[in-house]
Amino acid sequence: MELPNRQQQAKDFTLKILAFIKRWWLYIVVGLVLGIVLGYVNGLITALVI
Amino acid sequence: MAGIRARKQKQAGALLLAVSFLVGFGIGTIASNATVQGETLFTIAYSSEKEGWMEEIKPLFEQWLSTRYPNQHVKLNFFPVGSRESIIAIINGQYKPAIWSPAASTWIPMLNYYWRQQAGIGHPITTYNATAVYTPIVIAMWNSIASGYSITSMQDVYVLTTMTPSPIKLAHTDPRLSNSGFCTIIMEVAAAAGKNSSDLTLSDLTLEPVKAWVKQFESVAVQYGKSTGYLIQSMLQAGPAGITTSFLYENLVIESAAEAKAQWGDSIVAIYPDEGCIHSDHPFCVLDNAPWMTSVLNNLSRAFTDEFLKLPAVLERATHHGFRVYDEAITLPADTFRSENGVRYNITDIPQMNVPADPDFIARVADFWLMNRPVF
Repeated sequence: MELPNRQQQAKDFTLKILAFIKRWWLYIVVGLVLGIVLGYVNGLITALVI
Repeated sequence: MAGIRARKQKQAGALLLAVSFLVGFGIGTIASNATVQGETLFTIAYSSEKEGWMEEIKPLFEQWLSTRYPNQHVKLNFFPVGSRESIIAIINGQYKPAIWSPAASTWIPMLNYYWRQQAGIGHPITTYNATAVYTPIVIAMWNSIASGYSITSMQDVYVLTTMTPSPIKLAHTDPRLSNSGFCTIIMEVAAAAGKNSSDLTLSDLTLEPVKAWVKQFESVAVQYGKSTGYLIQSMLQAGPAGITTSFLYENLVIESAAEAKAQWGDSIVAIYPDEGCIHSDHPFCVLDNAPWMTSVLNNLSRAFTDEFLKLPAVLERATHHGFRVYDEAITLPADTFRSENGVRYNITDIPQMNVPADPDFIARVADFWLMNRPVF
């Protein structure tokens, strides 16, 4: 049975997102980890500056 | 075609990495702010010769604060820095301490002067300070030389500098950088002029006999250190043949006594010159007008200077590090202030000299030294 048009579009979109994440997950994780670590350190230095 | 596709993929990867990094950076900053929120950073910048004592009382203060202000989360940051160096760092905004403790009160007008010079700041940065301990600045000499020539005064040292070859190899800190070097030049000028240092004026620096005396005295200098703590280390490394005479805080003579004896079989003794000693009074200045001061920091600072600093346990620890205390109820430990450590227990017979009141004199002491020091 064919899904209604809107549902089909949503399913396609979700699959595209999942494919994107599957393709690029390493870049996303590396960027986030680096950003969080440096952002945290930067925040601490700014707050605790002597 | 494949090449273009590969390049586009690389660009997309770099873009994705950058976007993820920016998002992560934001998350990290928010997380760190949440961590330090509600915590007060209480900073004291102190002159380096107090390091041993300050490190010892830091945990005591932490403990005392937790009972005095149980609901206040305070993080302590005590660090040593040269008196002159700290002035420059505070003016530049590099250091933002709540309390500033130079080696002597001499430096307070200087900090306030430079602070006022800043555009738009017409008021002094500090209007309140408390003192609890002091150390006389003494002539530190290897015992073999001090007893061999029976040195008791600046004049005795001067006479030895005129001998050829002179048995004196002099060292003191740079008066532009360090309090002890600054006070050494004042003591030299006072001895040359035959006055108490508090009576010195700018005109004394222009007298030819005074210039000639200081020039002769400085002619045997072999080293000008950056800080007094470094100078005593140099003296210990060089031994009796390297540096025979230096100007130090009394507590540094005590702290180096055992090492000198073990290393060279000779001891370093403090000579309290007959002309008098300048006492470094180690004020704890609350930077009450600094823009970074909050009411919490002001209250903590006053609690430190007015209450904690007066506790007998705190003052007793200072005496064990060779500091003398103004509170007469505290007895100096006889096992610290003893001749085996190169110092005297009682110095009430030594005239106390003060830093001259004449601001013009103060402003030109370093230049006077520059003109009369040897170049090496």
